[in-house]
Amino acid sequence: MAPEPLSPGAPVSRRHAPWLVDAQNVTVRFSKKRTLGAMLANAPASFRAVAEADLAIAPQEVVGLVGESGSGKTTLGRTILRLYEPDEGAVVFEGKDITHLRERQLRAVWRRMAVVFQDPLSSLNPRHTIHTSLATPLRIGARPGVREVNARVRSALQRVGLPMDAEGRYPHELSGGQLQRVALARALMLSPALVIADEAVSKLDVSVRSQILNLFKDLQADLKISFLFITHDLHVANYICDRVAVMFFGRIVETAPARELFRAPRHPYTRALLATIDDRGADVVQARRGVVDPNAAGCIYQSQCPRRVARCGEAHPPTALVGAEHTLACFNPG
Amino acid sequence: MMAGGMMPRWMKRSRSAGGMWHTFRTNRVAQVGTTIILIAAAVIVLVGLFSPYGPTGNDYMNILRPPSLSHPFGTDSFGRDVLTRVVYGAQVSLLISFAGLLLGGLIGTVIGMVSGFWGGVLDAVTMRFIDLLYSFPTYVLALCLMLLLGYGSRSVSLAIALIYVPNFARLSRSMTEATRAENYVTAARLMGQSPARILLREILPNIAAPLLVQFSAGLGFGIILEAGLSFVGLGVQPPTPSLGVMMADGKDYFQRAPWVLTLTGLSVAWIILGLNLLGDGLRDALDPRLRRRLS
Amino acid sequence: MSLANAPVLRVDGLDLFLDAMGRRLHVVRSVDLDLRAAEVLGLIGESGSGKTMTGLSLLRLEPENAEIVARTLRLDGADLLGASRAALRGMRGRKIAMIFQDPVGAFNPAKRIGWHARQVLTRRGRSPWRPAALDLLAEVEIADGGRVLASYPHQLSGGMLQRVLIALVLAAEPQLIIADEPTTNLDNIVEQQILRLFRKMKRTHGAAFIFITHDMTVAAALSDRIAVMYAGEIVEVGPTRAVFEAPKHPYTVGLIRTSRALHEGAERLPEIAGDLPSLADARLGCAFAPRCPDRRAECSTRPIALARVGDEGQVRCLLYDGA
Repeated sequence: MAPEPLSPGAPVSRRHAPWLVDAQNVTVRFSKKRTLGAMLANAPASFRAVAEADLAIAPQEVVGLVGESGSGKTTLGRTILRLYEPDEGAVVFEGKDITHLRERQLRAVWRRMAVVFQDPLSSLNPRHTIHTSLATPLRIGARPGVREVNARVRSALQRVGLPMDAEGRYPHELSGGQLQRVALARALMLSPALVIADEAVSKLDVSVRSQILNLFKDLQADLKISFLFITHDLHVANYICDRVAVMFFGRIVETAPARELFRAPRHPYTRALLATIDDRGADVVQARRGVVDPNAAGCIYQSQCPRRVARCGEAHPPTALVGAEHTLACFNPG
Repeated sequence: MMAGGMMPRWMKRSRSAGGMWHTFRTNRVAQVGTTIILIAAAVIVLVGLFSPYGPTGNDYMNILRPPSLSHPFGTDSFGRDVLTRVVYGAQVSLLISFAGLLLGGLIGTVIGMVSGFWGGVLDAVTMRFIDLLYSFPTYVLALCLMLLLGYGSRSVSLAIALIYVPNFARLSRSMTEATRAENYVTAARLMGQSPARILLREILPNIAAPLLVQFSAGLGFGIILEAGLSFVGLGVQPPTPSLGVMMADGKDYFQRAPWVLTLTGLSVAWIILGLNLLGDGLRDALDPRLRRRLS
Repeated sequence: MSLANAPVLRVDGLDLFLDAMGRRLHVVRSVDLDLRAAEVLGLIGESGSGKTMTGLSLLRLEPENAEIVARTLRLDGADLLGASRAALRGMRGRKIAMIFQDPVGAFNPAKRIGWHARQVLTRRGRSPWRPAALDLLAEVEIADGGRVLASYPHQLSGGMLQRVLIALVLAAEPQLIIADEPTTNLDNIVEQQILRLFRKMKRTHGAAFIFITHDMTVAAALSDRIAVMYAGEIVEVGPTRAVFEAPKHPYTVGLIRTSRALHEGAERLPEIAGDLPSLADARLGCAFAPRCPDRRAECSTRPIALARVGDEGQVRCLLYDGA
């Protein structure tokens, strides 16, 4: 089927509009320190952590953002949260353009969002009891009475499967799995519309991981919240997400419904992510990895790609719609 | 390195407040320091309660008597009991030092936290002023202040405060800057907490410990500073006893009655040693002890 | 040169105690290991399983506040337990080598890679060292060996450094290589490449290998035998295929089921309930009992020994204990 190029920001499927979050053509740059030699050689002063990324999340949808370290997935997640301000493009949340809002104005928006971080221990104040950590979100704005706060804290603990005696404990007394439950409970305290989980299970022991993943899945289904699930593990993304976007070096190279992406990935990078040591003919995992040059013309993946053709060196491939909800940025997909 | 970066509970425990207390308790230096201070405190309390003499009140019959049973530290040139005066003097010196350090600590910490939290131009300009203040030699600064404010204990306290503002400002600034990047602070921001609340509830409890160490170390130095200034007559004015005043007295008739200066000096040394060791012990307890545990 | 089937490592009854916070933690509990030349043992465990401490014990690199006790701890006949410091130093890097999770720590940041290579190679009497170094780098599939030798550690990526480290380790031609989570910090694709490299090394060099990891699939891909550790004890050992296709211990069963479910895109992930136990707690019987779906009353009443199952397997579980 002839792929039609998408205009930046065009929704993948009309059925999903209006979006809860719509990141349109977002580019985020960080400035680099340059040596004198680099300056003289006109090396760029910044590098693009995220380049021209389009990502939209519908209400009650779980979207996965998959990529290796340096792919820009965390940066994109934080930009959607407006912890960073995009240098180009726009972030629209619940219909409102939040791209350039100042912190004071963002506070109202933030009450509709929540985060669960990768490291469960550092996401909670070590000097606060679990009760305090959970009660804090409630104490901003309209302050409910002590009894109500206590009741809500206890029901939050119950919701995430923690025993009541966890309330008086300190973070260092709990295990990683329990801490992530607390983090999730805290995220849900104000009934946000969007929860961003940044590698939320990566630091957990394997035997605990499935518990937490199931918890995420169940809560999302019960409370009907949207999730942005950032991870480097495509298998985890497949388990928990409705739709997955794959990032490489700042660019989104493919997005598709999870099952579809998992079973029939089309971008060479997605396929490489799914390859394992036992694959015969795993041409996608090259013995020698070239160096990626983000400033070179052409596709960002060309130096790594076994399916490279001449056209790949000319311009970065536009994102095209190759299925009902499947986008792809590749000149020579599989 | 543990699997996937997750650490087992016994390692987490040693990083906690409970773990640090344990290290402090078992640390030799801290034990010695605490003992010294406790002894000093006991003497101060007992003498304060049971001494038949007052700190002032001249007794010309008993001038310059050497140490004896009724006067364990002897008497001075006015016939006053030296031990009682040392005890009262220690209280005075400690009070001056404590007040000054508290004031300087509060101001310095606030400046440092605000500076470290917001960064930017505010931070750059403020810290340059702090650097300026820091670069003055301590005694020169103190003496200048004495000139401006006049003599007396209050001025000494203010001088101590001013001297310690840069210390606390720098320490709290760097720690605030580091803590600001922590995930739980980001989480607090995202909850919509105001900066003031974040500084007070999230950051301050986590930076308090090293500040306390600084405080205890500073107490000792404050006493030395007060003693020095009172020694030259700029600080506490006689007949109110302070350790410095007494040493000034004792200096005058050192040939005839060496015990006044010596015993007062030793008392000063004792207290300061105790405070310093206590501070060192605290510092050891807070250091990256995890390194030693894991090796 | 030992015979292909000669035992390289004999460990019998290894215990490691750690003094932390005034408490004595029993971190490694009565571990037995046997390894032959050119054999790869995958040591699987999560945090608190004792797998890293076990690995360090073999090199006698245990921390200061640790105490090791063992009936036998021998490398190619040489006793490791009673050996002098000098003897141990002589063995490390030559007869027994370790590859850590974070390769950065293994290099002197102020020296170029070439310096490191020269150290290792001249120690082995390979001079001139440079051609040998370039050969080794080519063997670990580094394209531009000259450039790498001229670089400083911080200029190379994690994957590249890990390759260099492997090359240097191989240069010494040790009899036993212990790799502790060598690919955990690396991105998936790089990880696959390093694993392929390990496989190649296994074929071409005769070293015995202990591969410590928490990742089942990684261990399965490389190992001849698997040992699963939980809370300081070995709970199951056996040939890789047997352990994977027919796991016995409920913990192993749980791990494999979860891993499979993830990789096959299952609808629901099977869970292992509960949390890992604390090493400080006193324990009677099976450490996994509180979380075990098949537990019985007697599981927590007495210590359970490893029992034989099948041809070469062993399990520490009352479900299989004949007695």
